[in-house]
Parts: sequence; structure tokens; C-alpha cells
Amino acid sequence: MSEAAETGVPGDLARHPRTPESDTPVLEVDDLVVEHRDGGTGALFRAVDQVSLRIGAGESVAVVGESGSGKTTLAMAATGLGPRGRGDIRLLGHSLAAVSRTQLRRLRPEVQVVFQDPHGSLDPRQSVRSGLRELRALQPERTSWIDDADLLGRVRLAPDLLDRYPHQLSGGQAQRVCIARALLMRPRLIVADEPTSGLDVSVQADVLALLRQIRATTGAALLMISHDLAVVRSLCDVVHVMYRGRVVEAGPCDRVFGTPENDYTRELLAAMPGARWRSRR
Amino acid sequence: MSALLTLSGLSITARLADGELRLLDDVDLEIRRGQIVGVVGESGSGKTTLARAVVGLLDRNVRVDQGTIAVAGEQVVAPGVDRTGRVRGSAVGMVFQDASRSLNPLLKVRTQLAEVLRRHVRDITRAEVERRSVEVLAQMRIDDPGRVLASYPHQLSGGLRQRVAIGLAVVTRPALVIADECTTALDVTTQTKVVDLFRTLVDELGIGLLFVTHDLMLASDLCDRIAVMSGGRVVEQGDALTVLDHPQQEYTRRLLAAIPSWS
Repeated sequence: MSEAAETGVPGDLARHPRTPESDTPVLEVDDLVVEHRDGGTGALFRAVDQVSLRIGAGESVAVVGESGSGKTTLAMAATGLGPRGRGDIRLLGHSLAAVSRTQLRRLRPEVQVVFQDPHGSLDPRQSVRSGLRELRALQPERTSWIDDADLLGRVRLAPDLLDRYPHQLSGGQAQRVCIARALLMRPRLIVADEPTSGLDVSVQADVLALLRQIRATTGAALLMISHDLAVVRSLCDVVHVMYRGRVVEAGPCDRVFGTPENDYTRELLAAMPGARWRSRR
Repeated sequence: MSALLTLSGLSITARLADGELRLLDDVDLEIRRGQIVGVVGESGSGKTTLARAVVGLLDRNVRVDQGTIAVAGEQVVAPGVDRTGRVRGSAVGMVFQDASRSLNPLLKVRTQLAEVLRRHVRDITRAEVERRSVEVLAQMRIDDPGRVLASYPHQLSGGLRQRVAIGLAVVTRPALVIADECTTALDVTTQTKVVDLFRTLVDELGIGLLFVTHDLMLASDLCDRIAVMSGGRVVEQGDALTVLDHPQQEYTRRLLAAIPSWS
């Protein structure tokens, strides 16, 4: 394939093999192209350019890139939350282009998204408890497996936070509430778009530990969107490096970060803060 | 040799609706010529208050309780005393996180540099304004100063805007530059270029740099010394790599442990 030729990525690495125990991949994206029309000039801009990726059940896959690389557009298209563009997207084996509305309604809860700004994703007029009540009303059967207090316990929040409003929560607490709301739906895939950007490093460490624990206990797959290579390496098995809409390199984190084959990957690695200190250790 | 910046026992308090809050508590800090000192801490640690105190940009409900700030040996801050206006923009330049806070969106880069120069350099000629503007953009490693001078801020990339903001801070040839989270909004590859630029400027011009950041790793790349702040106090300070290699305080150790490991 031409992408492999241009980026120096062997095709079979870009589409890493499934683990033997996995059945249907939770997400498969083939040759996705998403274009935006520039409001001013009317020109077409290719935000995502011929990207393919596959996430097996329970796998943890990262997309890294800088601003404007197309990583968020990719995640939103792949989860049906943004413009779907051209190319095939299959959620749990169902092609998004072919599913009926009823099927889509059933698929939606299987994918839960945690965004960068937790306060922005919570309704400021709703207490944590009433927010959860609303989710439960939408999916009564799916959400009956756990009560509110236990759910908050899973994200290591005290039950008395249930009566708080978003503005009464710290950034870290609000992000835990967002993760709890995602967990409530028992998703097969959690998409986390820069979930720790803007959080203090100690809070970030807690949120990352929580995501790691959720992966281990629920078996949910993770699609992590991040600009932070260290965060990605600490949480994900496989990484796709995006630059200007294209995946320039993909593979297991240890391989990509250990022996990068693409110049841009090398540039990103060289720009990681802390090289001076790490090189002495 | 005297220090460019000396904070001695500085304590600062904010008056709030429901009481008082100590923002800085007995802070000692010193920056010498050619030195980059990193002030590192999490949100609420007091690092931004420290930076703003030096340039006299504290909020109105905030007062200096104890201690002093001296710039190049001249006392500019003490309880009830604020002479920072004498040094702000001249002896002390500043760069903020958001370049758009330093840049006026309605004015071309040329006009903004000229304004700063005219304000701080007495009787400067038109030719001299132009010469120094081009010179400072060249110092910022900007390849096409002509285009950048003729541009409005929104016509420049984020990295270029931040370099122009740094140019505005140093065009008056200050002895000391205060940079508060000035690379936080930038992509990592752009951040690296800005950080390299700071190192070169400090080495070439012999200025001092106070570099405020939440990123301990970034500070370790750039800074000669690091002061770790928590709860308004400098809990630990010393040679940058020594602080990281041999943290003396529990808080510093926890901060280091929270950084995702890389291997």
C-alpha cells in the first residue's frame, strides 16, 4: 500500500495483529479520510488522510500527535461523534455506514468518551447524583449493575460527592466523575481524549492509575488520544503517530519509542522534556 | 557580585471574602547574571504569585506582609512599597503563557516593538527603532523579520507569536526576564525551540531568567537551578540536576514519582 511506501511503515505493523484470545475487534478503521472546508477560503482541508487502525477487545491503543495532527478528528469520526468522512469504520463489527438507527442506539453506549476538560463535559446545573440518574434513565438495564455509591468508589471518590455540583469539584475529582459516568455504561471501548492535560502531575498520576485499573478489571479497550509520549507509554500497548492527518508510524510502544523509524517520531522523542536528566540515569 | 534578583523572606497574603490566604510564605530566591532559575510547582503552589510580585502585577486584594524584592541591588518591593513600575518593561521583561496577553491583536508587530522602544528608550530615532526591531527578531531566530514586522499577531503561528512576545520582552535589553508558563500552550516540538532560544539568549546577553513552570522535566532541561514550590513555600532549591538526583524533601520525591516513567 502506498501509505506504507511513503511513511516507511510496513503495512502489517500499521495493522498490528490481533491477540489470539480476542474475538471481534471493538474498532476497525480502514482508509479513513475526513475533510473540513475552511470557512474563510472555502478550500478543502484534509484533517485525516487515509488512516487505518484496529483495536482488539481489551487492547489499549494510543494516537499521538501535536495540535492539528488530526488525532481528535480521527477519534470523533471513529466513534461516530464527529464527521464520519470516507472510509469504513466498524464498531464491534458493525459498519457505521450500514447500521440502522436502532442498531446505532444500541451500539452507542458501548463506546464512552472522556474529554480533556472535565468541567466542560459536566452539566453545571446538575449534581453528580442527578447526572447519573439521567444516564440511568436512558439505559435502565445496562446501568443497573451498580449503585451510585459503589460506582464512585470504583473511581476512588467518596459517596458524599454525589450531592456536589461540578463547580464544587476539583479538576481531578471532576475527571473521576466523568470516568465514573463512562464506567456506568459498561463500555467495550473507552476513548480518552487528552484526559490528563491541564491536570497537575500528581492528579494526572492518579487518573492514569485509575484508567490502568479499569482496563484490568473491566476488560474495556482504550483508545487514548494524547500529545504526551510518556503518558502514552505508561498506559498503552500500541501507538500510532500522526502528523498532518497521516499515521507516519505505528506499532507496539516499546518498538516505536525504542527504535523509531520515522523522522517525525524521532523529532517528537527528541522534544520530550527531561532528556538532560534522563540521559544521566 | 550582586544578584540581579533577590527575594528575601517574602510573604504575601490575599484578602478574601471569608478570610485571608497566605500565597507566599517566607520565600528566599536569588538569580545571578547568566543564570536560569526554574520555579516549579503545581497549581496553587504560589509560583505565579512569585513571578507577578517581581513585576508588580499582583491583584488589588493582595499585599506584601514581610520581606523584600530587589532588582539589581535596588529594593523595589517591601511591605507598603511598590516601586516595580521603575523596572517593569525596562530592567525586567516578562513573557506570559498566552502570547496573546503580551501582544496587542490590533497592532502590527512593528508598531508594538516601536511602542515599547519609545516608551523605554529616551529620544530613540526612527531608524534606531527599525534597526533594533529587526535585530531583536533576528535574535529570536526569526528568518524573515520583514514579513513578521508587517504582520498582525493572528497571522503568525503559535510558536512565532511566542517568539515575538519574547522579543517584546527583551527588546529593551532588560537584565532580567520573567517567564510564566510561557511554553505551556505550545506543542512539544515548538516548546523545544523556545526553550533552546531562552538558553541562547541568556548565554549571549548575560541576562537572568526566572522560568516558572509546572513541568519539572522541562525545568531540568533548561534551568541551572530549580526551586520547588508547594503551599506558598519554596520547599527545596538547588542545582537543577542535584535536586532531581537527590531530592531532600518528601514533596519533591512525590512530584518526581508522579511523572510517568520512561522505559
